[in-house]
Amino acid sequence: MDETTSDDPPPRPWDEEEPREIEEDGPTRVSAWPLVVALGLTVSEVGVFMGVYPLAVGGLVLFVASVAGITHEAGYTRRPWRLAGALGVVLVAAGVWMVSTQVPLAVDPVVTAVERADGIVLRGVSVVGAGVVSVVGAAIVSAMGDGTNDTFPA
Amino acid sequence: MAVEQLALTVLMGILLVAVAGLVSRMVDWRSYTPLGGASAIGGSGYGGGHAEKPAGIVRWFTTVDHKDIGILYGIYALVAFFWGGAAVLLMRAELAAPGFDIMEAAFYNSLLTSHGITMLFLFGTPIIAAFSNYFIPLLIGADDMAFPRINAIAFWLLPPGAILIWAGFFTAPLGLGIDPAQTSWTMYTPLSAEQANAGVDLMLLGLHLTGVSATMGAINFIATIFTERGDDVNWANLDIFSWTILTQSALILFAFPLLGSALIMLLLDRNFATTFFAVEGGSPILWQHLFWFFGHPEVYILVLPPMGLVSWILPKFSGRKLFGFKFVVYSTLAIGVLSFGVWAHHMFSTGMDPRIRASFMAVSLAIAIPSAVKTFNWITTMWNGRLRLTAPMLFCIGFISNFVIGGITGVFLAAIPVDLVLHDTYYVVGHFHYIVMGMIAFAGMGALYYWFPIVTGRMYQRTLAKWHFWLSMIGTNITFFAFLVLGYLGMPRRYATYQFDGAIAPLAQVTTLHQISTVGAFIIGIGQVVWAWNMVQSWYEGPEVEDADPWNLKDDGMFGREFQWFEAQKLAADGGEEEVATDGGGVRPDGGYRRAVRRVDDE
Amino acid sequence: MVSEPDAKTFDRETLLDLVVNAIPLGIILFFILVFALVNPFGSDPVNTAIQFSIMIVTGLALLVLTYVSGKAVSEAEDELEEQGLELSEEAGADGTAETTAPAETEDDTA
Repeated sequence: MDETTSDDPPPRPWDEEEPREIEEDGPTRVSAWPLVVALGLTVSEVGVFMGVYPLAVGGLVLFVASVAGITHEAGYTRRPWRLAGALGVVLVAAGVWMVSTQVPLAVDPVVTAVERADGIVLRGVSVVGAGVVSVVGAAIVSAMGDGTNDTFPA
Repeated sequence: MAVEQLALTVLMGILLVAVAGLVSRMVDWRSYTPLGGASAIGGSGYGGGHAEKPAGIVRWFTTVDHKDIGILYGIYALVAFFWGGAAVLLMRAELAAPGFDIMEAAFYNSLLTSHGITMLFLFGTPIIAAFSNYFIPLLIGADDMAFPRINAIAFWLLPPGAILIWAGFFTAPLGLGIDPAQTSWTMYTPLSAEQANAGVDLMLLGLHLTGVSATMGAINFIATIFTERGDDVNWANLDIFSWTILTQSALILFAFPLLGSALIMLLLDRNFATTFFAVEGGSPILWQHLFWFFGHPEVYILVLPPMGLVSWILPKFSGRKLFGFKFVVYSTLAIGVLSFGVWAHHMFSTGMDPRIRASFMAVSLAIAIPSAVKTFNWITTMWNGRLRLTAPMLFCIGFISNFVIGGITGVFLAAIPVDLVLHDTYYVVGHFHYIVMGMIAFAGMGALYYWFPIVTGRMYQRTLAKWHFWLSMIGTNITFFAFLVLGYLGMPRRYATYQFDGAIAPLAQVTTLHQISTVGAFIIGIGQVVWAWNMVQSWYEGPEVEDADPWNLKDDGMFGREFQWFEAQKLAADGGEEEVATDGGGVRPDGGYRRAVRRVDDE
Repeated sequence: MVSEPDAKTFDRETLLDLVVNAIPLGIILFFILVFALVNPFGSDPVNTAIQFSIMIVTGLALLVLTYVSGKAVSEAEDELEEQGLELSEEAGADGTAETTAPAETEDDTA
């Protein structure tokens, strides 16, 4: 479960006291992420499917962030924000694909489709929006965390 | 409009990222405090084992401990059980007289749909998950589930799923135009594809979430049973409950993703003009095939673990080992495989090719054997045994008795000629209610009583438990036997009224039988109220269990691994050594090794 | 048996246990024969193929799973016997009095 690569960041303060394989010694008992992951999945599913765009974007961002968070917490990744950004890119790609199934990928047709409230295009745009928010958010938080503390290694 | 929405979304997204950042900071700090080392867990005993958990409600929202999650599953399932039970009592009240008396057809249909889906997906599967989460790691000597966080995610998908499935009932009074679904639990197309009601979409999404949850749980159990067993537990002495959960998980793994896909296809048909289940497209029958390819294994997903529970508990109060333990194991596996080859026996009257239909009949008859084998094993276990009629034992015996009726009626239905006559009548409803209520719910109740001392550290009120059993047993048999007879009279399923022409069916008898089964249903209902009172009151005020062996299992050499764990917890709480106080795997089950040999030697 | 683990896959007792699944297999086989001999609906390439594959595939799957699980269980039994342990679901029945030496030595190796 440990990825050992040369570009590992310097060990975090607790790494010395606590081995990463916490579960070898005894199970972890507490995590706030599962609830958030489940909520993110639910909200994004309802939002995207029922075409409620604020829910779609909010849910997807929540889902991306919580997946990054839980993966980081479980020790599968050392840089949650990089994973969040990557998932954001995946969302952008998926959203663009959704739009492209309906209209040619150019500014005018997409704007027209949005204006006449084409359901699939709007859903695609909301997924793209969620992806963009994730990427930008990940970049900003990562930049904030860099240098000041190493809780969130970039 | 769209621009406003988009602006709103961007704002919401930014807010969410900020929140997520804060949460992760907090969580990161918390989960890396030394939980794993002996320092945190070692010193804690029974009841104090939660010392490292946050206090109050936060503990329940953040727990990834299999025992806590098991309790959450149990509470969730019981809430759903009462929802589904309330729905059916309303339906039975309506059916007490032939005409429309207390509700309209639309509301009856909504209750019917909600009752079926709630009982199968929100009560049946979760109550089994409650037992398996709490006890599988204890029974196989594991520290916890293989993936504790995924375990928690699987649970937390369920409450939103339930809210979505029930959504129509909450939104209907608001006048949003979102009503409860009226699709019945089978969601047959074209009916389900053509009901223009967002409540159906929400229900399908909710079902999809519960399916995702079940699949995650199944993967977790398979991984746990394969990889997390204690050193002294292998395939030869794996307990029967773990065997059935393993088989069930394999069935879930193959069946539920298919349901998820079919649900998405249905959603696409409803919202995006695809034609998977349209007459001019994939045909409505395709839905039935996909649904029952999931749906029949689902029957065994629901019934195998209760069979495992009974196989585990029954011997404890018979004073004898389970007769033919390995027969039960192999027949469980056989049911698991064969259950994928019988789905079209739900569709004998759809006009499919008679040759194919005959094959499904053949496999359906074959699958009766492994189930019958188990019945004989349970009976022979009790034969000449020293029976102790405690509440768990009574529920196990009731389970067997109901299974004999429910199972044999099923064998008749597997035969095409009989099925063509009885299809879509109350006979079918009676048959599967003997299974789902008479078996699954009974085994669940028995297990709740059996393990109540471990989970709560207290004892339930035995008199109330006996009342609960007898009310349930009598009520179940009154209600569902009347169903069987109604089926013979030709009463069709799913109707809110039954005002026949007297030439078609004897209305007087049908009315009487409906009234009998309404009375029976209310007897069951009273029994469950007694039970709810017993559980809640005993949890708070019941006498504390002093001895780790409340069932006197040591006398018979039947002190199971889960009670050994309980004993270690109690010893630790009384100031025992620290090292035994770790969870689950910390118990060295080699304490006192198995004098009781399983089979032939006993007989 | 312990000395010659590879002599036979299943000993007599395991075979007896596995008989339980031979009964449904026998029923399926019976119907395969019946449907092959008695054929009132005539033959049709697609439907007849589906008809027989439902029974044959299910039967084969059952056969394979029975074999694999039987093998796994009987190997696990040999393992336990080598360690001088008896088989029971209740590992540790009889409380503390029966804490036996073999169990302890076996567990300490882990």
